[in-house]
Amino acid sequence: MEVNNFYINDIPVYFSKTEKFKTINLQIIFLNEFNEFLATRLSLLSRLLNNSTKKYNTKKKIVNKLFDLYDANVSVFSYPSYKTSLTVFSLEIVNEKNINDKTLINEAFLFLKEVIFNPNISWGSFNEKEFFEEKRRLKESIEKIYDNKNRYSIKKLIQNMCQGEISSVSSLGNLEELEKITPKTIAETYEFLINTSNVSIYCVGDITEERLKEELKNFDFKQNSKENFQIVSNEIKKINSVKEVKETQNVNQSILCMGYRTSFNSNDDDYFAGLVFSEMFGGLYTSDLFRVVREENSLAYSIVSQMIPDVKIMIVNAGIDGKNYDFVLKLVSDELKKYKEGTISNDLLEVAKATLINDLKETEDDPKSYASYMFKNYLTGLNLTISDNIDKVDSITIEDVKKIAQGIELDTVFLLTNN
Amino acid sequence: MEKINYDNINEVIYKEKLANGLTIKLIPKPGYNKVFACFGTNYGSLTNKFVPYGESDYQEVPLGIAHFLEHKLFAMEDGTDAANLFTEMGLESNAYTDYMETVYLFSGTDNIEKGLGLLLDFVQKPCFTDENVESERGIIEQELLMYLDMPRDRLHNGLMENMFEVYPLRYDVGGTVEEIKKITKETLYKCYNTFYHPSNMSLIVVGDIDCDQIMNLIKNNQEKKEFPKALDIKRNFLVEDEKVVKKFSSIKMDVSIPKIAIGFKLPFEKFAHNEPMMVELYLKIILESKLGPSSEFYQMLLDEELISGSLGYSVFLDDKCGYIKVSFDSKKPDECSRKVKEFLLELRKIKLSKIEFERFKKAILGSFLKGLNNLEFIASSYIEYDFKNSDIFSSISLLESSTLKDIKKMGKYFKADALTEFVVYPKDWKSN
Repeated sequence: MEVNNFYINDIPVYFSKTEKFKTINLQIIFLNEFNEFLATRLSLLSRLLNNSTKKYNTKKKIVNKLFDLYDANVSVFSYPSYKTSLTVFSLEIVNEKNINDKTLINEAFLFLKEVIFNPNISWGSFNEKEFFEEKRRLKESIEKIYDNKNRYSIKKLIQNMCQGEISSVSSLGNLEELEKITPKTIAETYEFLINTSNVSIYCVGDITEERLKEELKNFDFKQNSKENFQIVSNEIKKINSVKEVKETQNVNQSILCMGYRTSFNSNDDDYFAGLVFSEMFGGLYTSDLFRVVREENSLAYSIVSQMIPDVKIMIVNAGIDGKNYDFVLKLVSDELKKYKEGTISNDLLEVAKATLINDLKETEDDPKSYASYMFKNYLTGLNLTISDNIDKVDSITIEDVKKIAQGIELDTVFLLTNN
Repeated sequence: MEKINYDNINEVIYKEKLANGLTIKLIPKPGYNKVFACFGTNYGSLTNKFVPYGESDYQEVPLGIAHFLEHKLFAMEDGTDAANLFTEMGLESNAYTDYMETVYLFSGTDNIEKGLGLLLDFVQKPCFTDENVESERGIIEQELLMYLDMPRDRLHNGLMENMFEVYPLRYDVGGTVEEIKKITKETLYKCYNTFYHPSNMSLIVVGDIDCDQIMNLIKNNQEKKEFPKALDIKRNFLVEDEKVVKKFSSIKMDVSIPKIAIGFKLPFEKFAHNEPMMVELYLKIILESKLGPSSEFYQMLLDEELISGSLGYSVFLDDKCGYIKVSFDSKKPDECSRKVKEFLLELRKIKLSKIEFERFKKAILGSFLKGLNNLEFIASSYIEYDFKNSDIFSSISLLESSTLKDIKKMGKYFKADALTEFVVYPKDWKSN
């Protein structure tokens, strides 16, 4: 698949024309700051923009319009990358060819334009009914994290581990900040987002470049430099001693979360070596953690490691019997120690590389993944093709993996348990 | 190979039934790097009473055995694990057990032929030993304990227990910690020999494939193996009427807000080809229009601050019976569920306008076309409906020709006798 790059009114557009999919996918991404103040506001704003516009001022009108557009998906969501927020307006429609309707693309783009530029704001204030409804719903969503014990445990781990750091700021929002927001201040947040962001556009599907330009030319974006925003962390955290936190709840199974600091971020040369390490350590079905904890000792149904590379963190997470806490902790630490010492299986390395290469190839099989790939190139400024990335993975050696392991240190352990 | 064209959705399926009874379906998707294959047996947790292969009497097996078997089938004769072998080929593998089917699958971009060979070989060569059965028990126990802390799972299982007296939809797919203790290698072999005969199985491969080449590969693999004679499988399903066992029950968990499920039991019926799928679809249209985000009822619940989040719904029908489930969170569970129940019972007289119905036809077409981008969706939904005596690729043209009369017929399922409720309360909740 090829990527074309052009500009419409200063806005970069990355476009991949393909007949492979039955859909056209478009993402418009607003980069802005991410901080404690903005996080909750962007979370609420995304929800408000999703649920009404001035013209389609009720959920009923919005949903029926989307049904009329052959179940088009229009969604607004916001998530962070280090100190930058990414607010995405995304559109997915079926290809006109498949339904014999020549007006769908135009109507869908007009609708997306309405969602971005015509929010339900009058006299500098968001529609009150919508505002208070969404505010209440967001409050309840935040409270309900407690009901998902795995998600709750990871949240508690990060809160304990990263006090005062940007990583501990929840992109869903927090209750204190939410309380402060009013219909007027959320309208200000909207203006701030629209006027001070860096905007870029990604499109994948069977549409001509002329048609895409034609449909986008009436979108009136304000452009700002992307250099204002910090996308990855270069901080170095020193760990004096490992923090252990336990919380008791009425649960059947204990959840163990281990938080580590790593030495690389997603823009570093080491990035792919970091991913390879994570696969080998606790990502693959044949990973060392899975083998030792599940297969050899039957201590867990699953145990996984995952990287959060923008903030240089790794999390290991498993559901265990609370009485095995010390044993599982020791098994995980022993495995990491082996990597640091260079006791690393070459077979497993090859498997991890093959798996990542496979994932990279599959990027081309899903429009959203492909849009994300184009976006990542924009963020990093590196124009790496999929095959460049594959070459990078392919060249990783045991020494590279050892170096990654040596940069990984346990910071905090959180256990949710019933005794 | 038989070629079936679905012009309206621009898809093709190649189909063949081999001499040993195995059904093969190949779905070409030009331009994709990835290939997705799944090998499924028409056997899930609902079948727990049957005549084992070569025997003459019905036998009841422990709950959760289909799922246990799924876990253990990955064990190979030489002590290796099939999932590891897939991983070593750079392929991703997985398996799942549901009410009606157990499915083994893999996907990847290279080594597809090797992967396909492995898929057929490991599923068709069980290796159950006393030791490996024992070691799996601890792992499955942790899996079941994990589900016990998931409110959504507890809500579903509670509702099913209220609804069914003897029909196995009453039980969780994974069984219980107590029941899986009864599983031995002998019972696993009995289930395996009965349900993993090729004549009870389907293989689906989706991707940018050379259909002739793939078909030959499968045939060569199968011709080298010997299988006992295919026998009709005798399964015993205990029939019950639409009356629910209990109208209400509840449990307490460590959660922040009450969680409620309300359901209707769908009674036993004889269904024609494609009918289970279409009944499910009609019911989903009704529920989406009456309870979905575009409905007035949902907006009313929000306006009165009775509901938190959305009003979820699902419909399940095997080829005999099933359920409708509506679930939601509420800080005023009594009042909210009273309103939802009253509203649902009014659906006996369904009012849907022609405009609304046509809008849903468009939306479902769009939604299905979007799904066709996704190879997993294609293969897993195809196999699921295949075992429900339905062809999912025909759903769009069947819907196109259906009328409001078909929708209105669904009113008969919203009966007071068939309705039940299950609630998960926070641990220190004081109900009135």
